[in-house]
Formats: sequence, structure tokens, C-alpha cells
Amino acid sequence: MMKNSSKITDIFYAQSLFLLASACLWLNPSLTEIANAQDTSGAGQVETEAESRQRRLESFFEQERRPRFGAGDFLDSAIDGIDNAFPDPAKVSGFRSDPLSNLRTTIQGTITVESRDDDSDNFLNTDFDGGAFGTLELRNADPSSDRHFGTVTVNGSVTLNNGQTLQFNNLPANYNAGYSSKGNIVSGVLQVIDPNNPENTIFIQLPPTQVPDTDDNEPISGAGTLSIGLPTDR
Amino acid sequence: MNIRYSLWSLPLLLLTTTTQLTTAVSATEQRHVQAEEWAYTALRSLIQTSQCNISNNLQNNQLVNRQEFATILSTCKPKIAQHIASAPDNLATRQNRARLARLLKDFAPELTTLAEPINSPEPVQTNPVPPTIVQQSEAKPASPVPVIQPELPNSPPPINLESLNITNSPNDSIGQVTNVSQLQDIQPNDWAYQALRSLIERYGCIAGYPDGTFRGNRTLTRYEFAAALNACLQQLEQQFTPGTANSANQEDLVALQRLRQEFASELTKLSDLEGRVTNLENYQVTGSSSQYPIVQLRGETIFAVSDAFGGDPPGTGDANTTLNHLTRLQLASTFSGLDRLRLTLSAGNFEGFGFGSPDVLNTNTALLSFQENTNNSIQLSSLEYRFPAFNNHVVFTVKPVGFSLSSVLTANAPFFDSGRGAISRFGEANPVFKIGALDAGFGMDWLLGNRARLQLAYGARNGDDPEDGAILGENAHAAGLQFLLLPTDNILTGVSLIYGYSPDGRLNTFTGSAIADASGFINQQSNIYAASGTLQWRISPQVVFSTWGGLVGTYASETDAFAVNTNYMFSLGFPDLFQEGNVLGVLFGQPPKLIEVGDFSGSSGLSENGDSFHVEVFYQIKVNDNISITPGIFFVTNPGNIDNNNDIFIGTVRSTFRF
Repeated sequence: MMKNSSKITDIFYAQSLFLLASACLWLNPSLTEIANAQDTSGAGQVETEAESRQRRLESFFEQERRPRFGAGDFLDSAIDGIDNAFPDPAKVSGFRSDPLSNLRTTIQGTITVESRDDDSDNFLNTDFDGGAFGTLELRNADPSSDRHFGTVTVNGSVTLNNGQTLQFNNLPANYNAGYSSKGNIVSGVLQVIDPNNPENTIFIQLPPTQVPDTDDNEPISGAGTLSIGLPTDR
Repeated sequence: MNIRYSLWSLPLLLLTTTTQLTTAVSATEQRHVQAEEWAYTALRSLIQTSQCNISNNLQNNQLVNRQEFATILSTCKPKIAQHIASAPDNLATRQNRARLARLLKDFAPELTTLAEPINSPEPVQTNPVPPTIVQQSEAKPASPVPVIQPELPNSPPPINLESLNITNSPNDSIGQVTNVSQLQDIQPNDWAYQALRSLIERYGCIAGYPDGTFRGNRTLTRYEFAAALNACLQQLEQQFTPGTANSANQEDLVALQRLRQEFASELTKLSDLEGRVTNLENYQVTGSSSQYPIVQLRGETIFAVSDAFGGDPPGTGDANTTLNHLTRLQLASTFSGLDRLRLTLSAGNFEGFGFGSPDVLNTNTALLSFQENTNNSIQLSSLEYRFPAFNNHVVFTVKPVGFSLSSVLTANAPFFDSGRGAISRFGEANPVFKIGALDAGFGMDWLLGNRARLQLAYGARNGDDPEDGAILGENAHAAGLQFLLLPTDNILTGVSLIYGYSPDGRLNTFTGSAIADASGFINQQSNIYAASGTLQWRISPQVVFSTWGGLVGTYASETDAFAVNTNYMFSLGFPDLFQEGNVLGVLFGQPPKLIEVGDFSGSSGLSENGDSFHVEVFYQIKVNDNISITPGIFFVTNPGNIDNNNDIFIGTVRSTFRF
């Protein structure tokens, strides 16, 4: 309910903005006068309506790919889509934007974070319990000047889709992490990259989860996912 | 409460817009001339410029009827014409000349009822389309005031040079040329020049521009030349009657024959064009609808040989040379002449993510603009219907398939053309126009005069799913508002605001780093707010500068997670470099990148620690009107905005066939 009301509020603001812009443009005719006053060309003025119609009909076919400057005749442009490109191939091609490519496994489990206080010794100490599919521990987080980044030590094992078991034995790795909250709802994302084997990158996602009132130094737990694969852009 | 506000605001928005549009339409239908109308402003300006001292209501912005307006126009016309004739032939004078011509034309019915006829001794040219046929009997020495071409009911329609890709500025008006030396942009050493001179001087059959050029200082194209020749041919055909005093001599016939052969291709196209125009003109005159609907098939096929290297990381860097294609077929139909129904089928064979695949370069920044993967199966990639309404002031678009915000919002990018523009996906246009990976949508393009447009677009990703819905559904949707302004003939600017909703915070533009494109992978329902500014500046006919910038903020609805990213691009285009029709494009910019906001990181999700830049160069070679070849290369530094990543290079030779 909370998420819906927030969204609707934003939609309302967006609609109000459109309404305001529309009203302002009409109620202030000087704006369009200014636009026309700057017309030093007489471009549309010397053309008769019949001639304009002929040109529009001549540009019957989509000319969007024709290299040309500006918008040309506005009506032509609007009707023929001169300035609009062919459809974006992204959807037809099934493009996806995923954190990991060459995904090796995804496991549902329970995430427990001991502390979200980056001044704490327990900062980012994280456990993931995926039952029979594996468990992981992240310890000894060492943040850099930008606390989103740092190093962490990984222990545990995860069963991959192909049945193999991936072992992490006190593996030093780089992390990239983010955390957010609103009231008692928290969410987080954690990416742990073995610089020598980036295809074994661990990606842990804690979706928005309601937790009891706690401070940053209290452990929190919630259902989440752990994935292994190669991060996009690596 | 919020629902109530939302329900209230939507109909109010529609009501306000509709009321305004209706008012606009009704205003144009009134038989009065109002102060804000173009004619009113134009005549008032001309009266002031020419110092026509009469008492009139225009000075007080009072409403006048058309007859009163015509009376004022008729009274001041001699003074205005005299002023135009005595003024230097500069842009302002030409504008005033065009204004007067338009006024005389628009108010011809009222003027004819007045005592003074509209055809004064110094009539004004009103036809902007060069060149036109000048009757021998009307041939006169060039005058600073152009010559009106009489509109004969049976006269052939003017030749539409624009559709032949001749981009004469429409504000140029035409005056008769009786000596070819006045046509400064025709090369004197060309044999055709000599022939043309002979024809012009002997038969006075070509009209040029008052400044003595066909188009500024640009070299006359073959089409322009052919258009002129065509005009002369038509003129001379009337004089080739044996035994008449004006019949052409044998030398002229030979010259004509040679010119006809030399420019046969262009003349054929002109002939076809005239035939089409005539047919369409007939429709307009008779109102016959027998020619509709008109359906035609057009298409484009792109062959590309491409390769890539660099990276490792990102990806393995192991790329092999590929041969790919993208084929599009489009059926375009019109039912009234002003509406368009288009259906586009496409097929492509870029395997997976192309060079962006995990086993190659593993990054969105490696994507090509013409990259489409349908595994060679034919897909319906676009279906749309556009139609004008409200006296052609508004064009509506409904697009159930293949919609993106740029289907309605003008991207205002010179290389937004997968077949002939930028070779990279990022280089095409501002990524904000790709937000949402939408599919179905609609929009309107409100034409605010000749210089401004207001565009509204709305689309949804799963608009065809009843469980989701096209209007504010549960899956991604986005709405955009854009104001386009053409402040001068050489500058086009656009400002747009976009609101979107994403179920997982992802923008899905596939242009920059994955982290920026997924808003740090905050993976929550999010509201997206984006702003974009675009500019194209034609510095000269040979140089076009363009730039854009985008700012996108993604804000989660359940927690305070957010991500803010920016992108920008600068580019230079060099049209007609080395050969007419060729284009050199040079681009530099930064693909979407998360930025710091105040003391906070650019994201509550994953972050970035580097700066990536995009550099691209391509040169489009026009082989003929249907084929072009574009070699090009682009490279990206620190792909994904990751410091440790190596630069990547992607090169291609793209052959584009259009038919």
C-alpha cells in the first residue's frame, strides 16, 4: 500500500507538471509570439496551403533516415516521423540488464548482516544460508575511502547448476555494496568479486524487507538470493 | 486522497488541452484577423517598416475583419513595395518581400473586391520552389522585386525539389534570370553551363533567385540543374513549332539533346515526380478518393562486417570478425493523404548481445546501433498510425508495437539513424529517449507555429497484457514532455522531462554501464525522473554541431534507495565532405554514469569508481541514392565506468541498401 501511494503521488506530480506546462504555454501567448517573432526566414509564410499540402504528400514515405538538419517542415516531421527512428531493437532482441552474465547458480536463502555501521568491526559481516545448496560467510570487511568499496574475506561453499561445488576458503575479495532503508524496511545489494576469478563473483540481493526496530549495529535477517556468475562490465 | 487527486488531475489535463485546442481551431475559422495571428503581426510590421502613414486599427491590436484588413493592406501595398524595392537585398528585405507576397495571396479574394487590383506594376513572387517556367512573353529584365508567377488552372504543378533531397531554403524567393552570369553558383567552365547560358539568354526560360543564385553560394546540384533544364525544355517545346518566328535554331536543338542525355536520369525522376504531383493535385481539385488508400513497400537492408578488440577485462576480448545483417520492410499506407499507417517487419542475425556478449566484451557500451537479434526470423517490429487533427495543428500517434519515447519526442540528434547515422547504440541519441524498453504507446505532437513544438508521449512495456495494462500498469511505463524550439534557421533546441516507473529500478537503455543502467541494482519498484537538453547548430552548410545531456534520477518507492546518473555527447557532422551525400561524423561523450549527489554516493545500490568516455568516427559514403557504405570505429575507455577495465575498440563497415 505504501509503495502504491508513493507511486501515485509521483504520478500526480508528473501530471500536474504537464498540466501546468500546458496551461502556461497557452495562457502566455507571448511565448509563441516570441517563437514566431524570431522567424526571420518567412519559411512557412511564403508557402501557400496548396503548396504545403503538395509537399506533405510528396513526403508520404517515412524519411526518418534521411540525413538532414533540424526538423524541416514541422507537419511533415510529425506525420512522417522524419525525426523519429525505427523502433528500438532492444525488446525485439531480448536485451536484458542483469548484474551477472554467464550465471552459474541462483540460490534462495536467508541473509544475516551483523552490522551496517561502517565504523563497527562487524561492518558487513554477512552470512548467507542456502540450506543444502550452500552457505557463505563474509568477514573482516575493510572499507576504502568510499565506503561502498573495500575488501572482505569469503568462506563457504556453493553448489553450482552443473552440480559442482565451489569452495571459498578465506578468499580475499573486493566488494561493492549498497544499503537503504525507510522506517523498518531495509534493502541491500552486495557484490563480491574474486579479482583472480571474476566469473565466480558472488551477488547477494536483499529485497525490501520489514525488520524489527533495530539500530545499525544490530543484526538483521531476511530472505534473499545469492547468485554466482560474471558481472556485466567485467 | 492521492487517487482522488490523480483521477481529478487527469481529466482536468485533458479538458484543458482539449479546450485550448478547440479554441485554437475555432479561432482560425473566424472571419476576423486577430492581433496574435501571423498576418496581423506581419502587416503591422510592414506598415511600420515602410512608414505607411495611415490610421489603422492594427496599431492598437484591435480586432479587424478580413475586408478591413485587406483595405489596409491595399492602401499600404504601394508604399511597402516601394520600400522593399529600394531596400538592400538582405535577409530582412527578403523576409518582408515574402510577407507581402503571402499577405497578397492570403487576402486575394478580399483584395479583388477593392477598387485597386492586386496585380500592381510591381507584383511579388510567391512561389518558393525554384525554378519555374517563365513565359517568353513575360520575360523581363531582373528586378529587385520578384515576379509573380500566375497560377494558371492548367499549369503544371511546381517541381518539388525537397523530395529530391534538394534543401533549398524555403525563404529564398525567385526572380527571373536573363543572364546566366547571374547564377553565381554554376561553374563557368562546365560545358553544361555554356549550354544553359545559351538557353537562358536566348529564351529567358529559367527563373533564379533575386540574389542571382540558385541557392546561396552552394554549387548547383545535378538535380537542381536538371530541374532548371526541365523548365527550359517545357518552355522550348512550345517554341519548336517549325515556321514560327521564335522557333529554336538547330544548335539549340543539339545542345538540348545533349543536355537531355546528360541529365536523363534526373529528368526521369523529375518527370515521375511531376506525374505524382499532378495526380495528387488532381485529387485535391476533384476531391476524388479513388486513389486512396495508397500502399507502398519500402525497405532497408544493412550488411555489416565488424570486429572488435581490447577489453579483457571487460570480457575476454576474444572477438572474431562477423558478417551480420539487419533487414527491415515497411508497408506505408495513407487513407486521406495526411494520415500514415505503417507496418514494419524486421529480421536480424546479431547473435546474442553481439560484441557485448559475456564471452566477448561483456558490456552494453559495445553495442552497435544496427544490432538486432531475431535469429533471422521475421518479426513485427513496429505498427503505428499517425494522423493530424485540429486543423493540422496536432498530430496524434498510436503505436501498439515498437513504441519508444523517441517515437513522438524528437531526439534532435543528427546521427539518430541506424542505417546512415552513428554506428554505436550510444551515439545515436540521448539515452533518456530509450528509457523503459517500451513497446506500446501513444502521443501527440502539437505544432505551435513554425518555430515551436510541444510533444507528449506515453508508453508501456507490456501494454498488450490484460493483467498488466497499457495505462499505468504494473510493468515499466514512461511519459515524456518535450518542448522543441527553432530560434533561428540554423539552431534547433529541445528540452524534455520524463517520468517513468520501473518495477525493478532498471532503465533498460542499454547504452552505458550495467550498474548505471540498472540504477545500482537497487531492484525495487522505482519512480524515474529524467531531464534532457538537446541542441543542433548548423554552423555552416558544411558543419553541424550537436550536443545533448541527460540527467536521470531513480528513486525507490519502498526504501530510500536511489541512483542518479548523467550522460552527455558532443558531435560534429560534416555533410557533403569530399562528395555530395557523404557525411563525416565525429562524436565524443560519456555514456550513462552514476554521479555523486551532495555528500552521498550516486547510488544506494552498487556504485562506480571510474569514468568512461566514448569516441566515435564514421564516414558515410554515398554510392548512389539507394546504397551507402559507412566505415567507422568507436572506442570506449574504462567500459562500465570501472577503472581497471581496458579500452575496447569496435570497428565496422556498414553497407546500407534502401529501396
